[in-house]
Parts: sequence; structure tokens; C-alpha cells
Amino acid sequence: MTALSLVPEQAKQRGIDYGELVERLIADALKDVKAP
Amino acid sequence: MNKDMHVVVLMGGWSAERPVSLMSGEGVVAALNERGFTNVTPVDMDPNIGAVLTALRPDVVFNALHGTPGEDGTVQGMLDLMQIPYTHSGCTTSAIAIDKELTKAVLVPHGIRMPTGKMVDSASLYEGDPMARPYVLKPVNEGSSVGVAIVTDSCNYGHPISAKATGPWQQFERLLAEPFIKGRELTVAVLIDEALCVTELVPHGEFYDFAAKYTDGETDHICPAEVPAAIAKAMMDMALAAHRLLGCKGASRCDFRWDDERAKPGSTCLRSTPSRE
Repeated sequence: MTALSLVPEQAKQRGIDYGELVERLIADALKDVKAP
Repeated sequence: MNKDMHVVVLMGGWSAERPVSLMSGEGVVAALNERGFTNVTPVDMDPNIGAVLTALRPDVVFNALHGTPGEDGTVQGMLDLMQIPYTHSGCTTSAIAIDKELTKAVLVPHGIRMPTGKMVDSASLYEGDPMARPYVLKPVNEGSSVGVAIVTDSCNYGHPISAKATGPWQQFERLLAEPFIKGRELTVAVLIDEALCVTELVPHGEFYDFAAKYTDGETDHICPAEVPAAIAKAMMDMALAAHRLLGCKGASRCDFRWDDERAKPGSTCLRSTPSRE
């Protein structure tokens, strides 16, 4: 998933830059994690 | 978001797609650093990965691995056992989505149109074609068009395919054969739970293969694709349905072929993890 790959390209088309995309994926990974 | 959390970016590994994964991982690390994340560790995965992660104790893993074992549920299962959260799809979804036949078994009964294929022993190809030409041969669990061959009447593989002809039959004992679908190469990405748009891929060569995918200038990307709005919507709906049916997380991508002379597009492939993104 480089900045020039297909998902980042479509995300950019929708106003989501590469860095934001990466951060959203991390947020999604953490959304179900319960606090210790 | 807490930008001091420890993020491990898993990349590399030992699949045929290792070079692509390293590019992905390095891009992700750079992006996180640019966005102010203070504790990012790139890890080039080797078979000692369990011990490496135990020592690093990350808060989250960004999975930038391509191919097996990073995309087939193996690494996901390990991370589940270690109770480390990770990006993209989980163990079961990844195990299904890496396998083209299993993916069809899940999606086709729910109305996702995919080509009817059959598994063949590679050695049987030297005795005769498994179906009328033109057809496509592909490994069942490789991505990035690794090991894909299009067998046409005019190809130089021979009639039947010659054991001396260079092709995936020399690398893989079994292959999936599917009828070649004429048409435009289109793809839809789904992010979290939203289909983004349609991209048309126009390779400069005859086929959107590994080189076309990962060599600058080998393929034109038309984003958004110039297709009728109803066709774009049909593909986006299908991609989102496939994403949900398989239980994908994070991002997935669904590839389509659409022939202007035919009414409906059909899906050819769904990816659930970072490859080809």
C-alpha cells in the first residue's frame, strides 16, 4: 500500500490523503480494544 | 488518537511479493512519522516474528505484508493469540479471501457474479486444455497476478501446453482455470464500510500483470473511471456487499471486468489485506 497504490488513489479522490488513510486503518484496528 | 502509542509496521516476509510489501511498509512508516507518531518500529518479518513481537510489545500492528503468511490468516492468527490488535482483516476472513475458490464459495450464493472456474492438476495441461480457449490460469492463493497466464489460440504455449513453455504450470502443482472475460479492468476499494469509487486500469501491454501493477508508467489509472453511473454504482454495491459478506476489516479491494457490450459487470477477485491497495 504505497501512496500510489489503488486504495490510496481512490481515498485521495474522496479527499483522504495517504497519511490520514493509514491513521484511519489504525483507528479501525483499535476500535474494539477494551481499556485494561 | 494517541500518537505516542507503539506501532509496529510488519513488512517484507518471504512471499513472492516481498519487494512490494517492503515498499508498502516503508511508505506507511514514513506517513506515520510525518503525522507525528513518535514510536514507530518497522519490522521485516522472519520466522522468529513471535519472539520479536513479544520483545517489542506493540500497542498495534500495521500489517503491510503481502502474500502468505501475512495475508492468508497465519499472521492474523498469531496476533490474535498474542492479543495484539492489527489493521485489516482477521484470521478467518483472510484465510477465505486469499483462496479464490473459497471466496467464490462464499460470495456467489449471495449474488456476487464471479467466473465459473475449475481446479486442474498442472500436469494435466500437457495433455489437453481444461476448457475452451481463451482461458486464464492462476494459482489459487497468490496475489498481484503472480503466476497468472492467459492461454489463447495464438499464444506460444503450444497446443496442448508444452511442458517446456514457461508458465505457472512449472511452479504450481494445481491451478485455477477460468474462462477469459473480455472487457475493461476495473477496481473498487472499500474503506472501513464505504465503497470509495471505481478506477479503470489500462495496461500498456496486453495484460494487467505483476509488472504492469508495480512498474511506474506501465499502467494508466483512470480515477474515477469513465463508466456509466449505473455501472459504477453496481460495482460499488457489489464490492461493499463482498466486503461485508466476507467480514473484511479496514480496507479491501474488489476487481471487476466489464464489457461495454454486456449489461452487467462481474467480479474477478477480492483482496482483503493491504496487497494491491
